Amino acid sequence: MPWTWVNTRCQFKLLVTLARDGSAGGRRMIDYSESLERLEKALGEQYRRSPFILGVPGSSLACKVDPFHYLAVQPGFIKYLSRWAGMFPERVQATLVKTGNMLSDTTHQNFTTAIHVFEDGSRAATQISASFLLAEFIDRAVTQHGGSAGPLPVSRLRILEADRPRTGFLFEGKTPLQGLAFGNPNQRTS
Amino acid sequence: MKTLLAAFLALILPACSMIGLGDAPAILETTEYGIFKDSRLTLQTNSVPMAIGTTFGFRFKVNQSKSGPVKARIVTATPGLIDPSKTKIQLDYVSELTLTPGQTYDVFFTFSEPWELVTGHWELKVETDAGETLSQKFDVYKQQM
Repeated sequence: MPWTWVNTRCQFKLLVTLARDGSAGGRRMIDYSESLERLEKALGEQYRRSPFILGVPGSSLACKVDPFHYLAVQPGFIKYLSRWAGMFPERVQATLVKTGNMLSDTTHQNFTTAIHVFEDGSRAATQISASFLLAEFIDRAVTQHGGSAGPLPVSRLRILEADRPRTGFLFEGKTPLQGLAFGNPNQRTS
Repeated sequence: MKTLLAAFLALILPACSMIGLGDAPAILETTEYGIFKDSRLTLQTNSVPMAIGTTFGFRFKVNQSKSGPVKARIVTATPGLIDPSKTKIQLDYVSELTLTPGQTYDVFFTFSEPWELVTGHWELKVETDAGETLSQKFDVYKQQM
């Protein structure tokens, strides 16, 4: 088995945390699994209307970089997802991180990294702020709510090989990014 | 004859409303509005100082109804933003979502780009397919230094 850790939603199905949710400044139980389902639905419905939001390097908010992970461009991904779901960005971020669907470091405070990416076959790389999401989350959104017949294929987006160490802290103890996620702009990887 | 018909309608229409044949009952309810920080309301107001990072809007609840989930549009009407990456003035942002009874939703705008800093009247609203609308108007102003 090439990977060591896979997060599944069922692990977090009952994840309910006492936290501030902003309503009247009070504290109440936040059901992150309910919020996660709402995000899935919002993302899926938006994909149904605008399929280019996923999988197209240079245009999309998130692209699959290996069978288990999507790379999301930040802060755009959270900004737009929060608008589509009618949830403040902080709640979107907390939901994705606390359910393990958006990878973070061991403190759960850091979930973005500055890396260079490029489209397979192109010559130039662009620096972006990126997060990594479990493919299971986005693929479930597009199949259950977005009208997709199955999980989306791995996109043509690649991470600059030299930036591989910059991603490591997000994958400690988790399924690492596979080799096909990395490359160099002047050589084809497929 | 026309007088009789008018009198009949004047009697029957309010009655229809009373027995539930008129307008559908409102299911959207504004719970908070103003300036938010970290998802929490910090100031209930319709006047918003123009600054990067400021979030304003409103929070509403979808009350329980027999109709189940409701399709809705979230509209952010701006005074007119000039996005440097686009060729036309951005007068509004529209997104669609499905509202689930019992849940709370946030309608908001955060100033995150310098070109979004525009003073004037902003309106944030939610419109359901059933014709119900919730709206909050905000006056964005430039802070005195």
